[in-house]
Amino acid sequence: MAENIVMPKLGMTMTEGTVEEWLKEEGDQVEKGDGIFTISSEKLTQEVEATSSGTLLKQVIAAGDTATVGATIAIIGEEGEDVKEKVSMEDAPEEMSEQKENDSVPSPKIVEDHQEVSGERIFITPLARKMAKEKELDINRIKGTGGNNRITKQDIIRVEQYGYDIEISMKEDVTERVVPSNIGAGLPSMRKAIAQNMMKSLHSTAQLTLHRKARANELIAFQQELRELLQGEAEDLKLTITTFITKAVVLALKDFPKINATYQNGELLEHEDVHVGIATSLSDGLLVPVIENAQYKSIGELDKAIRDVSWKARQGELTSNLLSGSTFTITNMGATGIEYFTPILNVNEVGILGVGAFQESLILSQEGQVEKQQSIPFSLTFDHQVLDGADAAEFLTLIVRYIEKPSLLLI
Amino acid sequence: MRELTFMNAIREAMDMAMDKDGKVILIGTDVAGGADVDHLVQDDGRHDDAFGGVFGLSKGLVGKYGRERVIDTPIAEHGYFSAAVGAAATGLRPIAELMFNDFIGFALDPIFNQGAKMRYMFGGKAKIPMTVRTVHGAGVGAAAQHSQTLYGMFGAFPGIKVVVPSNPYDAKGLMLAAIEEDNVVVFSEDKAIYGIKGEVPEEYYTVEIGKANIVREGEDITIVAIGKMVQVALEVADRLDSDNVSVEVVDLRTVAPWDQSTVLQSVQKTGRLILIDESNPHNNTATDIASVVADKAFDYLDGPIKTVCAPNVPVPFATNLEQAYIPNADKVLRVAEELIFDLK
Repeated sequence: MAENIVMPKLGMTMTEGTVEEWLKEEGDQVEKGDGIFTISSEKLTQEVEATSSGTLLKQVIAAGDTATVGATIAIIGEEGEDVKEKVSMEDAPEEMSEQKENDSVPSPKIVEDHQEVSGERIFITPLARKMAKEKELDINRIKGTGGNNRITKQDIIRVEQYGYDIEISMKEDVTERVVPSNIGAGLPSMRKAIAQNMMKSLHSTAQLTLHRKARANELIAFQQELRELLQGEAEDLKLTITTFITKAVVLALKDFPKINATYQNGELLEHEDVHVGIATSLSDGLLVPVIENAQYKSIGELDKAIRDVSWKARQGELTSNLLSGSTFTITNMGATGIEYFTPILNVNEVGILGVGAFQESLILSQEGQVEKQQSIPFSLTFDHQVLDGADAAEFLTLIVRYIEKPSLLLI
Repeated sequence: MRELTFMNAIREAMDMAMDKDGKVILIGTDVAGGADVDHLVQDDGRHDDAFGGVFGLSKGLVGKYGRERVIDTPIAEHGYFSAAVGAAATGLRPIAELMFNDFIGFALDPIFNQGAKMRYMFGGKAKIPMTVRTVHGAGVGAAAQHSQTLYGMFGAFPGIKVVVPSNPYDAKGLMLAAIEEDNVVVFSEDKAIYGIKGEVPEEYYTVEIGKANIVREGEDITIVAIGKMVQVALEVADRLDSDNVSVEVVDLRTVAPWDQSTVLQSVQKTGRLILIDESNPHNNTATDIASVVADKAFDYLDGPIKTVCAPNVPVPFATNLEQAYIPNADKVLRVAEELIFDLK
């Protein structure tokens, strides 16, 4: 019995994926667990494994082509088995199940027509309809104020003067509608996903960035001290500044949960858990691996987790749950010498912290001595729809406090 | 200018027509009033104090023009209306009075089937210059058999013109136009407004039959009203004016053939139409206008056409119920609320 290998769903938002490379040719013997092909979607490339042993009977989708989630990509079965029927049936999985359930029932097309008919009717007077047609107005976007809420001449005149009452059709998801579907067209899969996410983010949020330096002399001393104490004991700990900043962010998020949130479709949801996304640049793009439940992790555990996901990201070995579900993101451009920048929010988040390169300066200490001062520039972008500048400033101040008094990180 | 009551304006019109044209006669039950009553006969043989109809509207005409031209008849509408049609066909211009329009059942054949058809049946060779004066309307406690509003029924027959004046000026001008008209004209008077006064020129003039009158110009809503209901329409217009809703009031004047061009033009301007007709609510002039406007001005309508009529019941006798029966401004504002509220 032939078995289909379908396009997996790697993230909540994934709707389609691209077959990057075939690892097995038609006719090859495969064992359960063997990689058959690789796919890419959004910010991820993944190997898809055989779910049973047998012969690869058919490569349904050619390398480089895109298929929707759930579509058959490969068929594995016994050598010589006829796959034609199987393929044609599985090409339209939803129609098939519909027909199985009710053989004698009308085709899906009629169901669709029926849905259109039962849709909400727009009441509009003959005069208003005529005027709307002449002025090429979309009556779906006009609010009727006449009897029975019908659209009247007055409504047409008002819309002509002041614009539509309804910005976009209420029937469709706002965030989906505002981003044209051709964003990222012609780009490789990862770049296309980045393009769509960036455009979606900018279209659905009101982004504002605050900048602030944190004095880092004590943090550097703290880092040195920990490294010396642990020398020879924990070789796998690197204890980078990123780790400390991540710890500071996680603690600040617990202190200030308003920014550990999602605002979508008119609902603001504060998350209990802190899943921190760590933006990681690759040669051909960008990934945001996620440290899940970071609030339960010590500095040492965070350090290991960050190193682990970064390494996997660069090796392209991340699984889908490590690439989605973050509640707040940190992006570090320190290595490039950039001081301040304006990060773009990760979709579904209301805050992202940008970390710039260490800055050295001379300052006058409280004792009147000229001292070398190390500082870290922070750039916090937030969604001004749900947070005000004062909120964001308070949150940034919390982070700065943990950086400037690093012993607080141990609490 | 001199003012006359609605009733006296009609009498003056008949008087002027009879004075001008010896072929104009008056015929009906009690149009002279007091036929062969000895004590009413003056020394010189004239009958000046005769009653002059049930409302006294034609009082004095018999004294002036004599019993040859102001003819009291028995209570036999079929008979005297037949006589009037014959007189019209043979050269006179009779004004035949149906005391109440409610009595039309007795005079249906001479009016609908003879008077209205003869010109057509004789290939245009016969003219029927007959004016049917009659009285309609509730409001005077005359009960169910003397208070109906039936002009729409006359208007349903081709060959009959129907006019319904709303004020003394129009009453005189329309009566003179009706008498001049070579076809059957039903002149329907609302008895409840016999006493209203208005300016009426002393000279002879006519008001064109088939022409409606825009008595008040407006931009937002058109109200077409008939007869007494024009006053209701004007009150509605005044009340809506304080809400900055501009109402155009059209006095239909002629129920058949009603003035399509004026009504359609007004609706094309305002987009909204209310019709006020004291008739019962079905198969009346308001429903007829509504159907024509819905057809011919469909693309100009900015709301449903609202008709405000009497309810579908006989006219009650009890005064409070009779008043509730007659359309008034409150009722118009209530019935047509959905057409008005968003304009305020």
